[in-house]
Amino acid sequence: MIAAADGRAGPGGEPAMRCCAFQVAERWFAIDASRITEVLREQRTTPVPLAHPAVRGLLNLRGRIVPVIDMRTRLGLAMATDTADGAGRTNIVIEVEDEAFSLLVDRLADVVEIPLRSIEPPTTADRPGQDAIDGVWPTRFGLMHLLDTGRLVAGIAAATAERKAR
Amino acid sequence: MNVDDELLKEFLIESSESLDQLDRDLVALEENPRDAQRLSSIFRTVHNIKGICGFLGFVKLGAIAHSGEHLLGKLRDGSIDLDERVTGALLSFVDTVRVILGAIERTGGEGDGDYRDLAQSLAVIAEEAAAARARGGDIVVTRLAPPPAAPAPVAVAPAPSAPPVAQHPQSTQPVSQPEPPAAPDPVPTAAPVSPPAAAAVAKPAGRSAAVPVAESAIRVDVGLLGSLVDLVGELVLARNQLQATVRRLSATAGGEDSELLKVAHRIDSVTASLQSAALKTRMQPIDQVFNKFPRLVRDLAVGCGKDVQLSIHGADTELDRSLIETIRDPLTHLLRNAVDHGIEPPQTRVERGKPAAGKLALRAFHESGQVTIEITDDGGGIRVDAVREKAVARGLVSAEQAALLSDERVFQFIFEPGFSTAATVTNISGRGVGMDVVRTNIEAIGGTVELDSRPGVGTTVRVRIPLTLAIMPALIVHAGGQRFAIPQAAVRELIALGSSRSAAFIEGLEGAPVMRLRDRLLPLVFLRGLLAIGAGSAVPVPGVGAPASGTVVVLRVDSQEFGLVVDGVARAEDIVVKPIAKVLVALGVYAGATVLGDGDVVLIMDPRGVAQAARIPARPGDESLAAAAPVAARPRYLVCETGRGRRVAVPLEDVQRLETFPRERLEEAAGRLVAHREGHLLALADIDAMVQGAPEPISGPVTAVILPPARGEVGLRVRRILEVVEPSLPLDPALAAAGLLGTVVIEGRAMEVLDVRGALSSPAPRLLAGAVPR
Repeated sequence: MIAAADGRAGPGGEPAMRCCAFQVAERWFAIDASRITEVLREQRTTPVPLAHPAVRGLLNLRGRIVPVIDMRTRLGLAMATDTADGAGRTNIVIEVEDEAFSLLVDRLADVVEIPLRSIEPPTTADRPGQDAIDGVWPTRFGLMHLLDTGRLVAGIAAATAERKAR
Repeated sequence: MNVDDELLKEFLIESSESLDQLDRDLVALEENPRDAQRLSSIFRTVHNIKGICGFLGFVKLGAIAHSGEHLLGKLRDGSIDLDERVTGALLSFVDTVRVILGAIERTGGEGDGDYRDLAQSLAVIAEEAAAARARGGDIVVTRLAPPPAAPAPVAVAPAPSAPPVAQHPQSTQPVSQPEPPAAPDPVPTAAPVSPPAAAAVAKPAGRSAAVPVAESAIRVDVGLLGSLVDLVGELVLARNQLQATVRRLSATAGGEDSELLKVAHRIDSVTASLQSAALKTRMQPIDQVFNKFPRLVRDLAVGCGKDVQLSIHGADTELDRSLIETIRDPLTHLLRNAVDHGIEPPQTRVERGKPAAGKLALRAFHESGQVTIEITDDGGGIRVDAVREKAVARGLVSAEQAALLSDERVFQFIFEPGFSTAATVTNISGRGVGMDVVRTNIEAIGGTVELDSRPGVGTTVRVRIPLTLAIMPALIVHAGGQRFAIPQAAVRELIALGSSRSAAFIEGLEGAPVMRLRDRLLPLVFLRGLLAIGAGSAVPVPGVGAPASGTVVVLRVDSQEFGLVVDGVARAEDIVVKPIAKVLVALGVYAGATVLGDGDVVLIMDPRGVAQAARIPARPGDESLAAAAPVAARPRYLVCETGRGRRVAVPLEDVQRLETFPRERLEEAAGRLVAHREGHLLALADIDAMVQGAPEPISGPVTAVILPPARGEVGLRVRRILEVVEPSLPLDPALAAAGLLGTVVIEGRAMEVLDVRGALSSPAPRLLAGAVPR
């Protein structure tokens, strides 16, 4: 929840949120930086048959088994040609309710301070896979989409439960 | 720490264990009052406590112990008989000693409780009983009457100023309180971490002797042990990677006996020993929980005016210590429910034509890589219709839905929060008080609870908890280009497909693929199909598209047996079970994941989940008690093909597992063929050489039948494993010869049976001598 996020003073002294920005399918996204535990290069993973399509596989993080969430699939932004593959994407490891997940993104950008005042309600929430978008922040590169990490995972859990019920 | 402190600590640890033993001994003695040996052991224990009290200057405790000893002395010399009153008094005595020891442990002093009443009542009982006996009067109180000196329910960490001991008999409280059970251990938080060597292995008889337990026992933080085990797990993986690297390097460098190789071997074997030692520190027999239950059930039964016989099976079943602590409360609660609500009062039982004494059975056993604990009573049972009505009344399901639900599913409602208030529970003659709490606690550690009941017959509650923290033997299989681990505990046997014979055995039964295995039909599940992986993921048309190759892994879950068809079996391996994200557990077919030696992550299949996902029907007419897995009435044999193409049978009881060793793990040492296996050298004997003739030279990987450790660390080298057979005719010893037990007839053909034991026990093992590859 961005509203509940730890508001801190930005450069202008106004409350701001420290976020980590990244690119997926040439769009900009950001998550609360305090959720991130580490950043890795793309690694070999073990596929998990039957899992949600966004679960790319399992990663061995120093003995801990971490599911990798392919953010293109998760956000419904699968590109027609998988150009970025092999060029080395980036794993952003986050902690959600004591479980570790890794978000596989195309490119990691910077940590940015987003002034809470300038966050606008999401415009694309009805698009599939974008249920985790909490708000948007217009920048000079285009819209920055703020993601809620809890909902990123919860969306996958809900889809799994729904498919199992059928 | 001075000498007195040392002695005090020793005394506290030892006494706390002795008291637990006293509880059990007293209850056992009540069952069998003539057990003079047990009585002597009790007497010695109390005597020891008294002696040390004098030495350490604990006056109150010394006085109490003296009274107890006096009463026990009368019992021992036969001047009084053991009846319920005496037992009650002795149990009160044990409780009081506990309270005082607790105070000593916390404060160093005996507390300000006044225990003279108890000392006096012990003395009075001793004298009265003796006097009554002298008069020839009948002092035997019937079992069911509330005893005059019944012990109060074991209270939560009793304060030293308010001893919970039954000084006034009428103050005995009802034992059947609905709140969660109290921790019976009056030594709070600082319960000694008794290592298995001290706590588990020691026999009751030896316990009472004044062996200083504390000398061989130290207290270690359980969290520290946990991180130690985790680190060792990581070390094992690093070791495996090191081995692979060293093998590659030495292969390219050509240096066979390089220093590096030696160091790697050393690290290998030390790691293996470290791993097993580290794991042992966490494994404890479930007896740690069970040993409190005879006393608990006895007190509950007396409190409810019931007669209950508790039987305990599988107390030596080991599980992770942290799990032991977690199941203590739920199990206590389930037992309480069984005594309080399940088992009927003696009179009711007699009216219903049952024995007056109710039976309560507590069983623990390993099954499918899990620990199963069953609590079975022969009480009134639960009417499933009553539960169904209640569920509808509470709006949990509609009446139409409820009618469609299986009984099994209906019983699950009992675990719904607030499903049963005390009043409704009584109405449905049963259970439910706090059952949601039980379920929550068990599910928190990844376990499950099931309930099965028949009105008038009884109720079984089955708790299954995983061994998530443990190392588990697993079979590594592959399917659709991916590897998976299957818990060995669920694996019954392996059947190779591919030979034209076995392929014909796959048939269709109402559209579902089955296989004829000996005398019955085995439902088949294709792992590729189940997981929708690899080419040809569709389930083959029965009888037509049967796979030309692959292996059927026969799995047993509860009473169900089914065959999981995989592309191949790589090997058996001990794996470290790692938890996976909840969202993946929710898929229902994975139990976790592990990291193999090459660093790859591999999913662990959950055999129970696979059976459910594939909708394997339970075998009708099967006993629900999977514990009593039926022992094959007829011996079974593993049929192998040797290097020279000869077929021989090995008694299945002589087989521990099958394993294939790659060429690089094979070596000739001291003229014998050996395989490297987790830091050990495993001698591989050649069957051809064992019987007669020369062994086949090694050219590639070697498949071996590994014998159980009792037969020596030895594997039998074979070319191929063919099948497991169960011949209808017994072994014919007429053709016994060197290395052969005789012959059995398998499908009309006589086949030689290897004499594994004989060959291994001969002074100069023939089969080892012959293991030299030429």
